[in-house]
Amino acid sequence: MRSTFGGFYVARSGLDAARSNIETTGNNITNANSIGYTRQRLDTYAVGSYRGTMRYSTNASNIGEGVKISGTSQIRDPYLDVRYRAESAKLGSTGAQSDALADLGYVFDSATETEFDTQFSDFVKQLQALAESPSDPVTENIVKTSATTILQLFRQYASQLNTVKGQTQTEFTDGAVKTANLAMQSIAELNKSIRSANISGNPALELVDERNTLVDQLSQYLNVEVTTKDVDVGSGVTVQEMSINFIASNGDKFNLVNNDKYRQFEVTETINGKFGLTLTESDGSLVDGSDFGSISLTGGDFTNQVKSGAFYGYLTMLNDKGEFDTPQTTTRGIGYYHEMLDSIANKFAQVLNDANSTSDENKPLFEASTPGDRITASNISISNAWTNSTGNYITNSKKSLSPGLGNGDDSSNILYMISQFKADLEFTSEVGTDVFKGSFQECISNISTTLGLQIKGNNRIHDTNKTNIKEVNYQRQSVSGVSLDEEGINLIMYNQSLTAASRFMTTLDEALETIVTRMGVVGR
Amino acid sequence: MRITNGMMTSKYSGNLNSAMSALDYYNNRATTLRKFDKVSEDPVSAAKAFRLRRSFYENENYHNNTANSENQILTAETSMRSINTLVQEVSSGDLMKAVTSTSGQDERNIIASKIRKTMDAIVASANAQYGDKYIFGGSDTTQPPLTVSEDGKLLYRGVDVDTGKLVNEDGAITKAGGFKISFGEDNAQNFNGYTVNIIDDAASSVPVGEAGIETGSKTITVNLPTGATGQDLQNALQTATINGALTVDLSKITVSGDLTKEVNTGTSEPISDTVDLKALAEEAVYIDLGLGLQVGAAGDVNAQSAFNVAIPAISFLGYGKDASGNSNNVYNLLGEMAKELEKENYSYDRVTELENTLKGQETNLLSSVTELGVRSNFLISSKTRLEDASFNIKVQINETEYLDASEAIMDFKLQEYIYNAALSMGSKVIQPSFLDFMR
Repeated sequence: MRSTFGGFYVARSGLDAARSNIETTGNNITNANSIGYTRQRLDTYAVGSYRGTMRYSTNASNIGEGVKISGTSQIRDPYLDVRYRAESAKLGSTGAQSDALADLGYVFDSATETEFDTQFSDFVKQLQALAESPSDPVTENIVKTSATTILQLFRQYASQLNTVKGQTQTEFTDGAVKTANLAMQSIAELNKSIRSANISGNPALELVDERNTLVDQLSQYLNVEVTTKDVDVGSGVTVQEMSINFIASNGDKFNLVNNDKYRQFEVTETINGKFGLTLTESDGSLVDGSDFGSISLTGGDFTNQVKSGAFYGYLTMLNDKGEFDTPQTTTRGIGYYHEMLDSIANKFAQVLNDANSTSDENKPLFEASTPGDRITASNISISNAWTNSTGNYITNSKKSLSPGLGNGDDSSNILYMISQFKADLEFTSEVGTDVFKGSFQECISNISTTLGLQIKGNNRIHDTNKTNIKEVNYQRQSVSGVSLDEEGINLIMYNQSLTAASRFMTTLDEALETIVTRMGVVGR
Repeated sequence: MRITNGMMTSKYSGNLNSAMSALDYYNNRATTLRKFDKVSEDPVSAAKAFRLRRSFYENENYHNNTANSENQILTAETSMRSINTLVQEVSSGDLMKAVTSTSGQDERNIIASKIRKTMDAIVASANAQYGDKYIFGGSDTTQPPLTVSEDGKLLYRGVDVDTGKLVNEDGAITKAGGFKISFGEDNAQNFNGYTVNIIDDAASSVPVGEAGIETGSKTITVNLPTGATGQDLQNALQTATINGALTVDLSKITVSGDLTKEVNTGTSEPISDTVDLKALAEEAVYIDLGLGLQVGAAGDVNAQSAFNVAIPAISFLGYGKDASGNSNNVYNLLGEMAKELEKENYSYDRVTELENTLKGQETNLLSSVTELGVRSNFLISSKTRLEDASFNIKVQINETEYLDASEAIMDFKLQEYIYNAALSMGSKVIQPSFLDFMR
């Protein structure tokens, strides 16, 4: 037999649950547009009757004891989070490449402004004019001016490429790496807060949302995996501790965040201009596997292990030179375009210098700004001898048909120079790898078309990645997003629950009133 | 699937944005009428467009060259025709008919002076210029090719057209160590066949910084230290020690070029005071007309792959001497005739002999004129070919890079419609929710 006032407790629990539900709904509605917000739900359960197990209980009235709130929880699908983060790493990698390629595009991707190509045509035109009047100092001066313009363009393009490299480097070191480091640090701090909140029984759902957003952010830089484990903190309370691992291309896992401890990335630049990525403890010491997590890497550098995410995108664009690397790399980074320009400049100087020099006299037209260096796009200049010559410096002819007469206007050597602009030349890297076979201008337009194809291909993959991540995000929104319709319906439903619970209490009250004031007054 | 309001609005704004960027793309196409602005939009067509543009420039160059050459050849043709007429007047005209075995001195003098006037006219015509170029100078178009020596002989670029002897002021010239060395007119004969050998050898019998002339082996050895300049070369040559019997004025040896430049070691070609007249008459100056130019590294142009614009004056005026010792040159023959006529003891047979030789050379001259006509015809047809090619390239460029206007505008209009439709959908997508119907 249940106590007289027991029903009131049941009614009160109903009122309580209904009001909490309304408040949770309100919280959902107000956060409908908050970034990273996961809709919340009040967890309630029906309280059963305990009397069934009592020794003297009567079996007649095992009525439930109302409703109890066990807490609030989030509606979230962890599988979608894993998928989102995997897609995010892919998007990050194509995104970083896409940014760098777009910058390169400003240099080489224009189909309308092909001043470089045109300038070579102009140079040939001036040579043709010189071939017609070979000893004319005025025409030769025009040839020199046209050559100077070509050199200026070489240097301009080389410096633009350096700017692109500098920008990409800044985006990588000051943008990507710093953001990732900050994210890792914040996640560790949030882990600490969430843990202490959990110990005192607070689920700290908003902090969890914030942490999830940060993990999402981190996942675009590299391939990460989130693991949790239950830890007993005593007095029967267990809390979840979270750690984040970076999964290397060979399957190795590197611990980035372990509960409240975290690591930091650092960018190193080697002598040959390549960039490396090292992992250090938050106190700055290099990670060598002695501290937390399972780590096997030497010197803390794991550049070669990064194969996805924005870090990979930046590293390939900064480090890889395609055909110019030994062994050859698959990505044509900024370095490839720079080296390509260098080999054109080098070949241009070499071919014309050879053509102008005779068997008994070395007459270079071009040289490096520091004579003796390998001629590249950045240092190619008109040779001192040509600069200082006032009259005829270009060798008109190498023939000596009429000794004593000279052969003033035989311009066969200039024709030879002209023919070199139509000839198929072998363009090689500094170490002698063949990189292109064709004429100068073909090689120049080849740079543009290679970049064009690379941009087109990368954009296509990037768009696919974007669509994929949108799709996953859509699914995630479908699970975790707030629907105003639903919340509106819930409002009415919980409001009615509240009304019903109140009505129940009034009913009990009336029943008691009957018992207390009306009972035993029969016939009075 | 559970759909939330946020999902719908974000999807809508995303789609609206892509409709907008498509509108921008088609707007750009419709206003510029270009198929692509960036290579990455269509790399294959861009590569084709680059190639076409190069061909276009190339073609323009060839066209320019052809037009220039054509004018030059036409000028040459006019001059050669007038030379031909002048020679004809003497050989086949009435002038020589007046000469008989009994013609008197005065009569002959008048005819001789007429011939001399013709000779002057020939030189003037052969020194004709196109622009500032002397068209009959072979490979040297900067100087008038024909001059007349003090004894009335014709010189082609300072070379006697009968013997091939160098008569210019510099005398024999050779190139060594990157410099031109002139031996002076009077010395030319003496140094004939010598070679200049520049060495850098402390152990040599010739002391460092000096020069030695070996008459036996006909070698001039100059021993110069590393870093010696053209000036040092000239000093060494002017103070050379002569080993053997040779009397020359060494101070007439001069070195030309930039005298502050370093001298290279090496051996020169043998010094010569005569020039191969045949080689001089066959000199060619080639112009690239897009015939598939082929040039070897040594400068040997494939004659079929380029156009020869050189017309050395001696190629049509004649050079060398015939079997009977008469000059083959029209000018020199006329000079001989005039000289013979002016003589007191004049020989009619001699004049007739010269006249016959002249007639033979006249045929040669006429065939040169005809040959030039063939060359100018070739240029005219080349020009037409290049103009046609240029037009074809333009058509191809247009097809590769540019859009049909109507198509571009249609595309834009369609996209505009899609964008408007998306906009009008907007207000319907952002629907009132359940909350709006709660009381």
